[in-house]
Amino acid sequence: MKKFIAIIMALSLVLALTACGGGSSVTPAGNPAGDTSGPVASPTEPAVVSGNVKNVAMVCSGSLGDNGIFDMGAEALRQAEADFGIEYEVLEGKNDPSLYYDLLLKGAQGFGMVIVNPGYQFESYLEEIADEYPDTYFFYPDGICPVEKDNIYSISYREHEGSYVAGVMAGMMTTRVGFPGINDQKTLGFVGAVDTPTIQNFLKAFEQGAKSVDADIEVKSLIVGDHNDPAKGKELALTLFDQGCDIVYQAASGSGNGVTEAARERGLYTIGCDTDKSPLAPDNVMGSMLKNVTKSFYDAIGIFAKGGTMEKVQYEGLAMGWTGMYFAPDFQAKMPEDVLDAMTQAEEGIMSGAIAPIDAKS
Amino acid sequence: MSFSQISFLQTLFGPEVFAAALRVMIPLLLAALGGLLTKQAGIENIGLEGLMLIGCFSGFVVNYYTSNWIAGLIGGAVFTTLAALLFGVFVISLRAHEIVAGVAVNMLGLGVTTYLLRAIFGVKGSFTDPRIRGIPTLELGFLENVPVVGVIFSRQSIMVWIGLALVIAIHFLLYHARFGYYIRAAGENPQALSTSGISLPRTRYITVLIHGVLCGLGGAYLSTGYLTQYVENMSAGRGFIAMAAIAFGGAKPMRVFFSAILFAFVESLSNRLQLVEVPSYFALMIPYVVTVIVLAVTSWREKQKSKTSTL
Repeated sequence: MKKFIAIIMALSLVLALTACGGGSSVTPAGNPAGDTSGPVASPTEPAVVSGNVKNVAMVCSGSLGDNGIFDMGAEALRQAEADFGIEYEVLEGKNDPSLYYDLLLKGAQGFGMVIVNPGYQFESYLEEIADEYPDTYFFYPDGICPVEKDNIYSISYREHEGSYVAGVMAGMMTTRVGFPGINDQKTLGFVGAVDTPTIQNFLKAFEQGAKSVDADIEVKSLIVGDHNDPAKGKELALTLFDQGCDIVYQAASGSGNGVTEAARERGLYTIGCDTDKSPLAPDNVMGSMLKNVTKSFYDAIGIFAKGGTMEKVQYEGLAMGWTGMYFAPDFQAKMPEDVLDAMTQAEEGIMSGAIAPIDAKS
Repeated sequence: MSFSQISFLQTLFGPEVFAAALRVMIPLLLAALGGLLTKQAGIENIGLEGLMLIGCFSGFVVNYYTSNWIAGLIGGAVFTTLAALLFGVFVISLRAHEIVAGVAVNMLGLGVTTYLLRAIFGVKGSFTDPRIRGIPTLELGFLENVPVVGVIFSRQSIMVWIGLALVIAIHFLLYHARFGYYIRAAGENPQALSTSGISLPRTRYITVLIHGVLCGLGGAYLSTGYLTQYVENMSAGRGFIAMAAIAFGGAKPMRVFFSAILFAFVESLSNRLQLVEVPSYFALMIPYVVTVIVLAVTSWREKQKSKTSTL
């Protein structure tokens, strides 16, 4: 008898499961609520009737307070609120992937424009949700979204343009005689987070920029293999300094803070990346190659708030101010005039098309 | 031998590699010395990682408020010892399973430091401040011009010397001091210890406290000596590598020291392999491959040993 009941129970379970699965759209494993009602039901109120975007959501994989892409994105939203009169909300994913689907759904249901930040964390969810909300514009930084939909727009940065200028600067400085800390070897260093096309984009153009100053300059590069291990970042930078490098360019996220410390310890130089790294070591950070997330988000929101549209893949650099070299005022005062001039020339050359930095991403 | 081959070997095996290995070794070594003590006393602690992280954080916080590196080291040691005491209470007095308690220490370490980083400094991820005073290096001017040795030893952190001294001290403690005999008896034959009138819990508690101090020093060195910043989860698996070093060294101080330096050397070597055109993914894999091989050899050796002893 017990066995019979068990079989009946098992059968009913199986039936119930197949009944549930058949009618609804696919629900990802990461969605704990198993919410299938949202996308299927006809939306009573479309968020936007096409045309001007009135409200924007930024869906983050992590939380605000990172001094990085999330805070920079939020700053763009604040500026856009003041300048374009849009409303906005930041939906924080708290590094918990089980929240991402629901947050993206919330954004898609209530907002005319949704920025997923960073894009690659949301690829699979975008694939499902974007079709269900054709009137919502989705923005995918940083890179080119592998999911092709009419309403997904990619934001990509020309890191190679800013990196070329950084290379020109480093090349002129390392061949200089008499600048404190600069040795007579024509060797530069590079520390990258992980070996990806984006990191190669930083490296190759940096190397090209340096060699445009003097073809004998050698760039030694090391990869940390981790975005957040500053101890290893420091160790790699010390290794490069031991090898005769006097300037190390870093594109290594959190691990890069270790590179900055190594430069401070040895009294040598580093070039930061993404954000201004000079507060950590004002005398040792020559400058930083900014990836201006704030400007790029602000530009994208501005276009759509005014009822315009942009390219499916907006790929910008120096011309739009999305990437470029930044100096802390203290260090800029120390930089020789001819180096600054050469950098300005390189920038103009890139913008006019006379100089073509190597693009390792495409 | 051609010129390029010579420079290749210099890149890989120059004296700078050994200097780097010493720096990298210290956090591993200190945690491993702590862990080998409790292992000798019959407690396997897999919570070294969590204790180190607490040491990183508390050492950093005390250093921040006092702007004094010695106070920072002491602070790191004190708070980590408190956490180790908690582990001891669960394992020794309440007889919790040591592996479960060790896992709990690891989770507690990550959770409490992440929470407090936000509560105290209002930031997430990482924090640094000019108020932090790094542990100074010991400049040995007379060694400066000695080839090879000068590069390796003349400009190391004070903690490197303290660490090397501690290896000898712990070796002496375990094999030449009365309390060391108690510790080993607590591990090998607890009944014998009790019947000779020595309190087993007391011996184990004191061992756990010493191990807390060592883990705390290792952690504080990481955040205020090696680096002068705190980064979430910055122990980054070093506590587990320390466990591998203990296993490979058979929980004997000198052997553990040599395995720690082996791991550190392989790590510095793998950093340099990238400079001689070895693909980064391959070079970065090497320390882990070596760890796996070493552990496999260890367990094979132990198996052989137990076979011969049963015969």
